Amino acid sequence: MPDVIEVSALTRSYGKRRGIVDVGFAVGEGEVFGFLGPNGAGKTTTIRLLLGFLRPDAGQATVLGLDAWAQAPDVHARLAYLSGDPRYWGELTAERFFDFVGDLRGLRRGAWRPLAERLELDAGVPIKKLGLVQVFMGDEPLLVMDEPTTGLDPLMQREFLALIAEARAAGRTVFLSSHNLGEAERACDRVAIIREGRIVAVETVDSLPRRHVHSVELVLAEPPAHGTFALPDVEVVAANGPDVRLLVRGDLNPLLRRLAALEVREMALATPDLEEVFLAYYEPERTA
Amino acid sequence: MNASLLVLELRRTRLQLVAYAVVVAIYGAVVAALYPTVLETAELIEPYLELVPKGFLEAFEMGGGISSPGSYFGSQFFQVWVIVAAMFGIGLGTRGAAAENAAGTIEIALSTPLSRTRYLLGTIGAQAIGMALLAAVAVVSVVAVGPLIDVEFDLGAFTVVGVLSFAFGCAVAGVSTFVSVATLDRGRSIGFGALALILMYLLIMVAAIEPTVEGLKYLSAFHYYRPAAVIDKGVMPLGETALFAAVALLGWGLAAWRFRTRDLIA
Repeated sequence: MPDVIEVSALTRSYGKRRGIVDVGFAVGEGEVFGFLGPNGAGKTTTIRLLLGFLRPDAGQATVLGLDAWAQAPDVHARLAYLSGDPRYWGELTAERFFDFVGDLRGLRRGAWRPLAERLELDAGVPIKKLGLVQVFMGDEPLLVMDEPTTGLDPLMQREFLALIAEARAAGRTVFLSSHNLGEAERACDRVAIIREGRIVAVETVDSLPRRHVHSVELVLAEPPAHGTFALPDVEVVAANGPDVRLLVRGDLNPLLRRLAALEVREMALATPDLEEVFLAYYEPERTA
Repeated sequence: MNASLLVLELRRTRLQLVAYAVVVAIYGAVVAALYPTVLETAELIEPYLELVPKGFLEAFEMGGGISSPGSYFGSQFFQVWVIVAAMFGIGLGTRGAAAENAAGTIEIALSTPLSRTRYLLGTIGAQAIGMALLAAVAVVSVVAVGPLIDVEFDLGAFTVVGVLSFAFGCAVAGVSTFVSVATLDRGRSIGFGALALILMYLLIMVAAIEPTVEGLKYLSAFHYYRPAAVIDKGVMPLGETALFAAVALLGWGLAAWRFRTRDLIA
């Protein structure tokens, strides 16, 4: 399966302000790829580099085999993009706007109508709903979306997932950024997690939590002394007397050795949900 | 240039253009309608003008008194028109890049196959068309009043002034477009444009009053905008028109180059 997006050692800063550093990943054809991270992690910077809005300081981004910066118009001919903060010209009705954008993208006039009817587009709709029509109304092989579901109601989020599934079935490639792990879990085949401008993991959605993070629930004979679980990569998520819930990133053995010195009444080991994985990556300094 | 983008830009410009055009049309018609009265009272007015330094009068197109059509319309109408055209040119010139970038709407067009150069050409096309309409309204508003006041204005001469005025307006728009692209900051771009025009006004005033710095007038765009001589003599100011056209093309050209090579930072 050829790579639709290839990013290697991509680096971009804004003067002294960090942007992204040595970012690398690849997105295969027909894949739905999630790009996860909190605000300020570098998601939008990466997307703007992929779209050729920014020139990289170092590294390279190719989209559909084309250089994202040098061949931007050719790249844009084969993708549809939804900004994280979409804005529209107030002077235009939605109808005129879609026809204008459709014309620029080489779509036939009114190509947006079936999707607008499906999404029940009417006056006063949220701006993100207009964005969904804008991004899905064509047949470009690549869809790039920055936080596409922010501001959508649950029903529309479900519709969004259906649209993603249809795009995948049609063989289109989807690159979407999000800070909503549940959404990424439902929509994506693989995810990359970016933290403070650097990629910290690129995994399939299924393997990511199992491989790295465990949730450990304990019932001890007595409340643990302060600092009992002050171990590397162990985080106390909740503590209520003898009931303790821990999150362990990586190797369990240091924790098991510490537990051997305690009287443990009950212990449950579970795979945390993706939200907890996310926290484990982004808040490593959080300890009890 | 992309036709859809040009149509969109013109559509978005129409209210602004209509507002400016109405102001120009009404003002031009009123100035033209007052011309017979000015002719009748010229003997009373011109002695007062003799008290003003001659260089100053020439700087503001009143070197030939107030009664010749060139001096009258040059000083009373086209000197105002350039201010209106400059405001229009700065407004439009700073919209396509700086304002659209700040509003986040620039990504809509630039995430499509439309190249940055073609995008900018679309906005430049709207600037040029808008400026041409504003110049045409200026000429028509004066000439059309002629039959109503039994004065025959020279349509050919006024049309030549219209061409010169169009070139002046495009020069302002061209420089504004470049500054807008270079800074991607509309406030700074408008500030720069306004400051540059004020400075050029001051230059021509100082140069007119103080003979030792007379050469400063060559740094002012207003020195090259001389509608009075065109109206009175009917001579096409080829050099001045070409100068304004060159500045306009240089500004737009530099803007297109810079826009193609720079980051779009929201």
